Amino acid sequence: MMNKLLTKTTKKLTLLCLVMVVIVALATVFTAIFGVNTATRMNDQTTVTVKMSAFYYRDETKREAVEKVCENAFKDLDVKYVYESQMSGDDCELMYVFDKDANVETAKEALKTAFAAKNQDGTLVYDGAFITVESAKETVQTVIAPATIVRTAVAVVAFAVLAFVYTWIRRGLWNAITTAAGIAATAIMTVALILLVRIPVTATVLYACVVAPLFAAVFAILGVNNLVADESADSVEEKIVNAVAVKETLATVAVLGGALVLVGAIATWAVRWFALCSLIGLLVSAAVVLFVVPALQLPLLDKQAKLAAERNKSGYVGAKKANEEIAD
Amino acid sequence: MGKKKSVVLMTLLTIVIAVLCFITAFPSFVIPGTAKKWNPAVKQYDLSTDLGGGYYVYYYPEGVIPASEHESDLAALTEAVASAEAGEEQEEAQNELDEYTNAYAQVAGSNLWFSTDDALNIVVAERDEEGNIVSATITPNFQTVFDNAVQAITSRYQAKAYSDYRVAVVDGYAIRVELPRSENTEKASAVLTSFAKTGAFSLQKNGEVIDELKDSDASASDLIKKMSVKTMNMGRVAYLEIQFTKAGKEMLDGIKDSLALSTDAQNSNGSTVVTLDIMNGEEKIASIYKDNIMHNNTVRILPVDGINKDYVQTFEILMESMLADGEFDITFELGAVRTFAPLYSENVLTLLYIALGVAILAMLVLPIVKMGRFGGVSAYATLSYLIVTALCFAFITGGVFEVSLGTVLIFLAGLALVNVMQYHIYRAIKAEFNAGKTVESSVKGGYKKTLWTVVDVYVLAALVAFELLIGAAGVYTFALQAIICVVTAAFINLLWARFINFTYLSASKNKYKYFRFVREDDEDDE
Repeated sequence: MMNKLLTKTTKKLTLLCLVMVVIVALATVFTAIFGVNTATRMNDQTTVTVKMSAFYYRDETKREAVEKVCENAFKDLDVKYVYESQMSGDDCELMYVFDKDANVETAKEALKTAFAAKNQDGTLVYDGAFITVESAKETVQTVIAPATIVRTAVAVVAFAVLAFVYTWIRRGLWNAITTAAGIAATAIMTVALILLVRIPVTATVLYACVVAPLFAAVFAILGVNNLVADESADSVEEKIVNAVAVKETLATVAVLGGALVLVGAIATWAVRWFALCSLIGLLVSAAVVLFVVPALQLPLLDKQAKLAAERNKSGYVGAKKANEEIAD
Repeated sequence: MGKKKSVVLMTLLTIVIAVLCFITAFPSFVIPGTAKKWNPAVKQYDLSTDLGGGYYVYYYPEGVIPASEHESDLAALTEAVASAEAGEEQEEAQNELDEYTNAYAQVAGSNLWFSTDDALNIVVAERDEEGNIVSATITPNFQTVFDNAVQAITSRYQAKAYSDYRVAVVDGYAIRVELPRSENTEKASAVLTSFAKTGAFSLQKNGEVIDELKDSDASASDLIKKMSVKTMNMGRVAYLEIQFTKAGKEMLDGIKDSLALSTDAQNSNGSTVVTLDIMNGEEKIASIYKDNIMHNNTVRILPVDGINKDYVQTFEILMESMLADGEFDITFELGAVRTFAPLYSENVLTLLYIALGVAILAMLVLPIVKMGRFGGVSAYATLSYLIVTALCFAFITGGVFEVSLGTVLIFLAGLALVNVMQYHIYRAIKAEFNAGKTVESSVKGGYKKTLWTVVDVYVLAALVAFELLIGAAGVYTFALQAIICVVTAAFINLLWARFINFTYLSASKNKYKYFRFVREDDEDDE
């Protein structure tokens, strides 16, 4: 079944290129209009900090009582995450983080009132906690440093070039072109899809953008080696279709994809975005190697076969072989 | 290899792998009969912020205080008024309260409180007839100085190349900095304190600025050409090497004979020794002794904070920043350094380990189901990969080597490669067998035919890993981890798994069943 599908898609290079161009164009337009979606931690924020004495914080029951009051006060607000912080000293704090435009003043005043509440005998309900509440607006100064992104991009380009050179030495020019093209297409498509899907961009996204071309290169070289070893195919097209490392590619997607889905399903939001990002990279690399690379190989290998046929027609066999024939 | 030898070897192999798995990943427990706790290798990891939490601290400019501090001070002074005895004492307490009330003002858009002291020139306060503050605005000078200082401090943290850090301006006029937990508290405090320094760079001898820097047009960059961090004593001691310009060398020539030796400083018993001091404002951050000045007038400096490479790198970044940015007319006071738990969930690491555990279990079982006892070889390969990479991540500590989500990805990628290559080899052996060869010939032929493919795969994987070394911050650390994973996976596929397969196959009674091979004529016989 897979071979039938590959036989069809191998002839559709123009269509596949068009699909990729459309995706990249859409991603560019989306990013231009909406900007890059950065992780909450890398955005401007509003915070509400509840500071209390260390002895109160470290007592689980007392701390839970304070956390309950806070949860109640923030029930109409969207808490992004909480810093639970300690110091080796007098006070510890809970810092609740909201979007930069969140209006926290009402909640802040409610907390102040709640923590200032007194018992009937006049003692404080939260006696000994010395709780203070304050809010702040934070303007972040750091996102992923441009130098980090540029260097990563340069590393991927350098890898594509070195992979091209290595494959050229090992398996010839045409195979080197398809391998390098596969790596480039994977890298570009992974970045485009991440931007299109609006995954929050963090440093972990860079890792996915780097591992995807690695897999593309691995699957591509498996296919190239199969191609070179195949001496039984009747036509170039059949040779290319048979050479695609379908089982290895699908096995990797199944194994690694399954692991990433599990990681994303079990762990928390921070990890889910990372798992999704990595899964996108893996699926893109598989798709490029299964469909785009064979489609690119067909015209190139056709051209190679034509050139070889023309050489044979002219009778020129090369100096070494000519000398051997003369010797015979 | 004989069957007996193979069985003995198999048993030994299994025991060794089991013991190493225990060392790597067995959960912590208190050792019976002692107060000590057993921790597996995976507990030794330095973790990124997402997985291990981190540190944060506030930088408040002098004269700026948070609302909570103002509130506490005000409450204390009000309490003092209420509890004071009527008369002079109460009047005094009231005066203190009034003084404090007028000493700080708030500006629109900020919850911070700003000193109204004219000497600090932070705010311009509008007062009513009774002298009470009505409103206040930040002075343009303070705004400019603060903005410039924020830029310089942010650049320092960028230069430190943490994989994960955060610098934010709080309420317009304070700074909050976050660092990952991979730094220990002492190192984190050293970095947070160093990078808050905003004084001018100067060189002083005997407490006096050297002549070359007395001129208002003079700049330290005229004297210093280049700085770099170097190590000696097999990397145990780090120092900053400074190369001076021609003018700087002339300056050193002029004073080096008058400087004390570092040994003099140790024997001085508190009396003053003459040194060339590097100052950040009024604070000495390093001293140059006569024996620190090398023959070509380069200088080796051991900073005050410490001789560990990390400290010296921090010192280098500070020095570069001081030379490039100059002085800022602002001083930052640090709040307490706080540690915070992993964001999103305290249990994120535990959940991640559970997910990885399930994934690894699947990778142990599936090959056995698919490939028979050859799948058992893959299972051993998986465990070997897990052991080697986990131990390397735990005990290789060159520089910042924190374990992050990227580490999880490259670990899984290497694990997938190991198993997929094993599957590729199995398919090649099966193809040889289906072509009519014996099991032994098929194994030989299958390995021979796949050798260069496996080499090609790992050469490309290694190229990616080495290329990433040009990346900065977390990408560089990721590259180091990728190299470990790729080299380990290559070793396992090319050598280790072959050896295990050879040993197991020698001990196997039924080589057909070993690979789950069935020949057509065997089926016909049945």
